[in-house]
Amino acid sequence: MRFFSRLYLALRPHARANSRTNSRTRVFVLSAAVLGVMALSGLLTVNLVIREDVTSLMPTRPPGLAEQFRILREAPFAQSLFIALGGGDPAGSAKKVAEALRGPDMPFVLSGMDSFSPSLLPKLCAALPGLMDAGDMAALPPLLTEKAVAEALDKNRTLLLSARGLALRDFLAMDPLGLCARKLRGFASTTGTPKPARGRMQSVDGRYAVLVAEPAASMTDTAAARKVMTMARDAVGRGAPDAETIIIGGHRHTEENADVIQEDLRRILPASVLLIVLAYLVFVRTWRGLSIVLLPTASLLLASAFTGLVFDGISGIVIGFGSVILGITADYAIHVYFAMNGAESPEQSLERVSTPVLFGALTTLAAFAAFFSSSIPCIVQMTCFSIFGIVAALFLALVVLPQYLCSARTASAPPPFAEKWSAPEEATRLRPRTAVLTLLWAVLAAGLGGLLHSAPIDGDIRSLSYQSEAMEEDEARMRAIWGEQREQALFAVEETSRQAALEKNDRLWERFVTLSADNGYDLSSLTSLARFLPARSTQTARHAEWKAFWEERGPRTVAALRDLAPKAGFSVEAFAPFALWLSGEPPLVDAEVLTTLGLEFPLLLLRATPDGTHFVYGVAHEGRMPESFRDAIRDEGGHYVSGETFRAAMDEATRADMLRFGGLSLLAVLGTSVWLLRSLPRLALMLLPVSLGLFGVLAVYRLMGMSLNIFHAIALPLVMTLSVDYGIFMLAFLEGRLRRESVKGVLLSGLTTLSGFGALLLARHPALFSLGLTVSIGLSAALLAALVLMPRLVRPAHGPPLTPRVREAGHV
Amino acid sequence: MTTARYPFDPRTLLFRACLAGVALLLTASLSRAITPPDLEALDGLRQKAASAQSVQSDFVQETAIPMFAQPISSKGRFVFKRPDGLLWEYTEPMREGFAMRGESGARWAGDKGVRTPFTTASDPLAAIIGRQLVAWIIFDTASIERDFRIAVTGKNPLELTMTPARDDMREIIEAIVIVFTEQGPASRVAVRETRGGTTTISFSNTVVNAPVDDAEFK
Repeated sequence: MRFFSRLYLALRPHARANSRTNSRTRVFVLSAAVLGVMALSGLLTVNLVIREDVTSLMPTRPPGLAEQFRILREAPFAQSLFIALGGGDPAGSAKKVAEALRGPDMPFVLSGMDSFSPSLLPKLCAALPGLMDAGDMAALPPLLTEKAVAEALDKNRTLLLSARGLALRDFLAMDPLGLCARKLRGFASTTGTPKPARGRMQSVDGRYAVLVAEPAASMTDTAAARKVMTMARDAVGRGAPDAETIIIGGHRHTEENADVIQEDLRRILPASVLLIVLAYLVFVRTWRGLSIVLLPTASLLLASAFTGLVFDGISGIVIGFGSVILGITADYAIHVYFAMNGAESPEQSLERVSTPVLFGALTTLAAFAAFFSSSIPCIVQMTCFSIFGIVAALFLALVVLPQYLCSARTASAPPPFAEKWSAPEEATRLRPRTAVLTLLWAVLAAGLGGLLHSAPIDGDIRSLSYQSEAMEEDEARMRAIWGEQREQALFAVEETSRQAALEKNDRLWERFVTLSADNGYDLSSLTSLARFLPARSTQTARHAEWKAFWEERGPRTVAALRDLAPKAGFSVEAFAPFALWLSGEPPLVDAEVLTTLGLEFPLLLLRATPDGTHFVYGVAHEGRMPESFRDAIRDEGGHYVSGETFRAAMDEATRADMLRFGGLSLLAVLGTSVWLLRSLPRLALMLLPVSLGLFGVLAVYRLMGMSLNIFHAIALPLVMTLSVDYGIFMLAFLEGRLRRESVKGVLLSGLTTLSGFGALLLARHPALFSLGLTVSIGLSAALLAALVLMPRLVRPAHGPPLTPRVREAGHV
Repeated sequence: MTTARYPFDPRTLLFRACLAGVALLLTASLSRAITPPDLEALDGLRQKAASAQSVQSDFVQETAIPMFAQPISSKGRFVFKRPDGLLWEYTEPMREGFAMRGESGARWAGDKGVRTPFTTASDPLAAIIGRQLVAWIIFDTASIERDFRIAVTGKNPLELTMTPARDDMREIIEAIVIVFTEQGPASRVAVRETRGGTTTISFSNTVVNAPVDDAEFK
């Protein structure tokens, strides 16, 4: 392309006059400018905020998935730390650790009540009227018959005589008929939950106590997560240094992911550079060729700096992807280096090589641009990073690098530019082996179609992030301590105020009650705040019902008790507190009351976001809820999320992203290729590496029984994007536009790109590894197709197949 | 996301209340299986307690509290066998009790005495009681003194008065007074309640280290 040869001469105006001094000054000025930009980029890169949390890997589309993710992110326990303490005195350890943990950074620490007060049960009874729904009220009359009262009194006497009765005196005096006890039994959740002992939540075998702590800092904030984990470990160290400790939770997950990404980066980047240096030593071994090593590093710095200016913090995964950019950006420098390493004048060489370089870059950029359609923030960042890197590398390779490669040589006037890639007559110099090519494409098309259609998709979010063996062991131990948990489902309603959200939650619960009467679904498998904390309006209405009921039934009931109590051995005044309760004004239950009563856990179902959205969550312990219940949730404008629905949405998002990225990237590659070549046989030849690369990946995955995840949605188009360059350069060589050295350039650029992706295979983070594995397989196949297959599928108009050796012989 | 089962169980309030009572009575009753304590020689007491492989005793309990028009008597028995066999049963005026060994056991109520099996997982209360028992049998002073302050309030016969160390206990119990026989085992335990009333348990027919049929605990 003439533009770059002219630009080259423009930067060296005295070249023709052999003014070496001026030339050196220009090169010096250019060097200083480049170094200045690099230094500035380096400074910006050093100050980048690197984020390593998994949220940047979550798709924000389709809306259903984004919605589910939003609900999961705000869900109870999503931000909690769970600390299990074993040893000789787990309850005592839990108390000490809880005390050590509490503070502004850890505002919510739950380890059970500090002490049990017998007055709690009467207080619970006092709050009961606001919690009595229609079903509870309907169950009261049978408890008030003379027979029922007599039976209750006998039962109470037995209870009071037993060891347990010692702590139940006040409770039984207030609730002799079991109204409150019945409701409390209804509250009971399923088995396998931690049970309090000495006020602490302990495992059933008493060997472990558990703490639940909710830090102020979000688990998605890497630095804050580290701080939280340090705080938790310090608290355990101070409170229970000798206790066996298990800490699990999102903050630990974030910390581990951050650690592993940083470890990966420490391995990947040097390994990538080392591999490029090795390739340099094998294929280049000249001082001028050092540019091949230096240029990618400069591109990486520029890409990091510019991406940092666009985004508020970059995912560590994107920086890891930088190693890949190292490999890609080296390609342009390699091609320019080999092109300008011959006998031609620099500007002639530059003119010859700039067209395929530019077309290659254009195709890559167009295909990368397709990734902007991604709903995954991390991929958008990656795309931005890649585009900045490629543009920087292109500029450095075509504008800056030639000045150094030819600084010691005399330039001459460029020859007339005659070769047009799109000129049909150029193609006539090749005679593709049409039958073989057609057969090959037919097989590839059928194979690719079949493999893509039947590829297994893994929508499990856990496969996207790293989990250490230690953490897996700890989670397994936690499950062993508290029992194997069945998969739970969440439901949630949201409103702009807490009371409005509670009212909505109450309406939803009422519908659940009605539905359960119809279909027999066991409501005890659901935990809803409606049972513990109804809205004020709901409680007020229930208080009115309660008072109306007892105004009618109270006097008779109290009289019956007074009459029957002496017969059962009780004093006449034994149940005076019961009469007072019935005639008193019921208190409203609020969060403060629940906290006072030691019922803090239900409050975890209340969540509020900084933007003023109030959520009320519920839990379905059996996992899947009946369809009618899910419809009811939707009718109330609520949300339902289960592992099943989330995985299904992830599967859908993965497939959709694959189709979108794949489709758009394919369109970009095809569009630029058609525009460039305008010949079907040449197109079929040039795109062989692309299709074989894709085929290679899918075939290997199928043979190894591996599933595709959301990261393959970017990895597969990347294979297309990168391997198309090999086709372009090989076609340019086979058509005589480039010298034989260019084949070496294709090989070296393939190896440097592979060195970038190959380095990712050292990563422990699944996302980086997955990307590295997929693209390495694809590029290897594409490189083989370009270097081995393509020359054997064409021949000159008269002669044998056009292998590089033959091509070189015939090169003019 | 890692989620844990929603660990709230309101029964726990009742459970803790029950536990407090059970622990106190067990504390009192089992103390009779131990040689009369000398607060200056608790280690010696622990050694003697460690030698008790089994304990069996009958008891009469008199509950005199304001809720009852008159004090009400009840009778029962308990059996303990190392390492973890326990039976605690009221026989009059009601029949109610439980037995357990290790991680499983059975409970019964009513005249028919039909036993309902349970495990420590399904009935954590039983598990807690078992642990409390073991603490007292082996005379784990660290554990006992975490809950009570012990004072010698009589020399002949030896009388110990235990006052709760924790507020939650003090809301229920004012003091537990244990009177020991000259031969060793405790003869009477009186639990003075904070809100008035006293529950007194008198032990009789106490046998230490006699053979105990394992069937008792099934």
